[in-house]
Amino acid sequence: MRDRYAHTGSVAEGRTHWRRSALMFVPCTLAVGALGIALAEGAIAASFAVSGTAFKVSASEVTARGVSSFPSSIGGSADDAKPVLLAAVKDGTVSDVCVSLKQKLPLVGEISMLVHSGADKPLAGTDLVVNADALTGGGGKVTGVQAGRDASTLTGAPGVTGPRGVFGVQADTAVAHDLRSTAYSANGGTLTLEKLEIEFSRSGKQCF
Amino acid sequence: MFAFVLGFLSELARETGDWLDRILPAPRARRSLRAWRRRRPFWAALWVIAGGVEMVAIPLAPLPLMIRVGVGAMSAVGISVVLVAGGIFFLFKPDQRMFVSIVTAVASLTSMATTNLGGFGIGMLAGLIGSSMAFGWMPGNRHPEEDAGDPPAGEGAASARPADAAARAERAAGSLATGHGTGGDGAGGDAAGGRPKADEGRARYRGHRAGKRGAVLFVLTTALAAAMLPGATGASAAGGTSLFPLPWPTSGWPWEWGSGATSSTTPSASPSGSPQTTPSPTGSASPGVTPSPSVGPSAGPSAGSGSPGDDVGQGNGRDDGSGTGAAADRPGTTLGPQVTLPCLTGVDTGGLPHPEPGGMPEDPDDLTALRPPVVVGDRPGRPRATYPVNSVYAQVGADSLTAYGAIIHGATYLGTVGGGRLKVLWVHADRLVADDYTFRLETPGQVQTIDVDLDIPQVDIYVTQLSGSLTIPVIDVATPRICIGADVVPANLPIAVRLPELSVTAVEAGQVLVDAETVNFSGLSAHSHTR
Repeated sequence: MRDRYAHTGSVAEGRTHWRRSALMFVPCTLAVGALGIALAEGAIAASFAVSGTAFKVSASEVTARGVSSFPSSIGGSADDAKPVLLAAVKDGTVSDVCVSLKQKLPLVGEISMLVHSGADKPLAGTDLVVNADALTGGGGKVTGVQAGRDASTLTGAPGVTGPRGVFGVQADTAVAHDLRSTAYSANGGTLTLEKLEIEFSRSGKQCF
Repeated sequence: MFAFVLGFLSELARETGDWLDRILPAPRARRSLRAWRRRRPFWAALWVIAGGVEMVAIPLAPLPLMIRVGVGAMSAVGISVVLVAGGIFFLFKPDQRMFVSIVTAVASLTSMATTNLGGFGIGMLAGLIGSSMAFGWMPGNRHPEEDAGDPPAGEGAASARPADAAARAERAAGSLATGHGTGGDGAGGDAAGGRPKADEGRARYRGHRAGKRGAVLFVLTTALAAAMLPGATGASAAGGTSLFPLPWPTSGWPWEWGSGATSSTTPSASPSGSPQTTPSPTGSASPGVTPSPSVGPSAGPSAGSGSPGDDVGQGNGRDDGSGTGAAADRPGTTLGPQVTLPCLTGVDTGGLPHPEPGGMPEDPDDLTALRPPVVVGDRPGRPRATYPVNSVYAQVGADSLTAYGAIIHGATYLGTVGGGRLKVLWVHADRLVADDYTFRLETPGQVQTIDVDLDIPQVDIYVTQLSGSLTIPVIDVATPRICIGADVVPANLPIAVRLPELSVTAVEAGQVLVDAETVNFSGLSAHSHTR
């Protein structure tokens, strides 16, 4: 028993000194709290990149400047590729937005997460790229429309172009009301949040 | 009480450890691995690496997209690389843990603002825990009181003895109770203070024994780090839910090039797209007249010629994915008179002889009521679009289409990216109102449909062909369905026909381009389907 570790000799075996760790952990936790408050209040812009499962997004009003869109697909191979409409926005605002996500977790079971934000003041975002497979809207107005431009030459949202020979749409500005969308991925340069409310439920509650 | 709980827990952990040690195979390998593990902040490294991997795995967006989107999305990659690299440093350069742990802690904190709130908090938390553990890790201080007497054998063996565990627990409790916890620990640290350097030196001597294992672990870790991004596509190919979507058909991964997943890049794939939608292509596909692919022209016109008197409501069947073939098969419900007019597209003539290009496409009688003034000289309206258009254009339809202040420019050419061109009909309208406009775009593997009501001021429309029933104003009578294709109209004639109002019902067209100052829409509904 005693010589079980004898071969290790007196090498620099060490251990974690938890009080020493706390020296770093506690201030960091405080910093996280401060950051969290700053983000929720909209003082700092957050950056997003999510995808994987379909999530539902609804918003009472969306405004955008610099829009490019073209048909695309997500999924690695041609067999399980999911057709989507890719929409890229240079910058824009969203009012009264709701995002809901249903996810099956290994132990917990099916759980849904709802995020509400921007009821009082719209959220502002830049460089957003969304892959959506369904989109409905009450109405709106789009200016500077070029529907049919080759997707590889789109200039609406900088840096986002599609494959050659594909139908592309771009617009200078867009305003849409009562949008509802099922999206598969959203990648945001930055997003300034506003009064974030996150709600978890197991009853399968969704935005719509 | 606290001491009791601590003592009990350490006893439990030790017993479990002993039990595991007895039942697990390969004691020698595990022992040497354990020795290697204990000479560095191993678990701290694991936490930090796990945090880094989680952060880049959660966005799940492929690298090409992230690069295009810009700095914002790239931060996920950057921070996770810092965390993984920090973890590797903890494993292989434990003496640099102080600085590296501060770097990883700051990176974890930064991730909250830049990377999905720090991988939804999970990656950030793991990174912070790992950083703090590495910060708190000290060598040579496993059991100071034993080390003093019997350094070589004492260190590891001591941890196995319950008496020692209890002693440690008491010490911890005591220092807590006296309220200067850091003092107690600091003393321990001081006691060990002289040794760590020497111990680390000896660790280096012993390093070459652990070298092979270290190399294996290093390869594994770097492989893991390297696999984080490329693993994306592999996983999505395997799992049906596309955990790692690839939104860029063209920019696919290098090892996917040529696998067919990126076939949408080649315009040549498009002609094969729609022949099945037209059950009876007549085969007189005017070679050389239009360089355009055959997706649109064959679908629309055949519907028009097959049932010349299609009623107004026919258009609503178009967005359900059943294709134009179904519409063509349906017997024409009578609204207009049952007159079969040739569809002058040059692609589908409805079984009639191909008309000579250059002839007047429409029956002059249909236009008399529209008072068409002929404009010679400068073209009115907006100039023609100068940017390249796509070669795979959309099939559109509308229950009714009313153009106010229309200018028919005739036929012209629009360039495509590859240097090709499409011959199109070019119509300008001061205001265009479309009821129940449907848009159907077929690309390899997918169909995009849009259903919307439109009201568009100042618009230029470019179509390959157009069919529908003209409504004659005043008497409000619909003509039979007329079909006109761009290929039978001479291009770039120096005339433009101005019409104050033009109403067409049951419209179908191959829409190449719509260029508008403003589009007002309502009742939008867009969907993507798999073919």
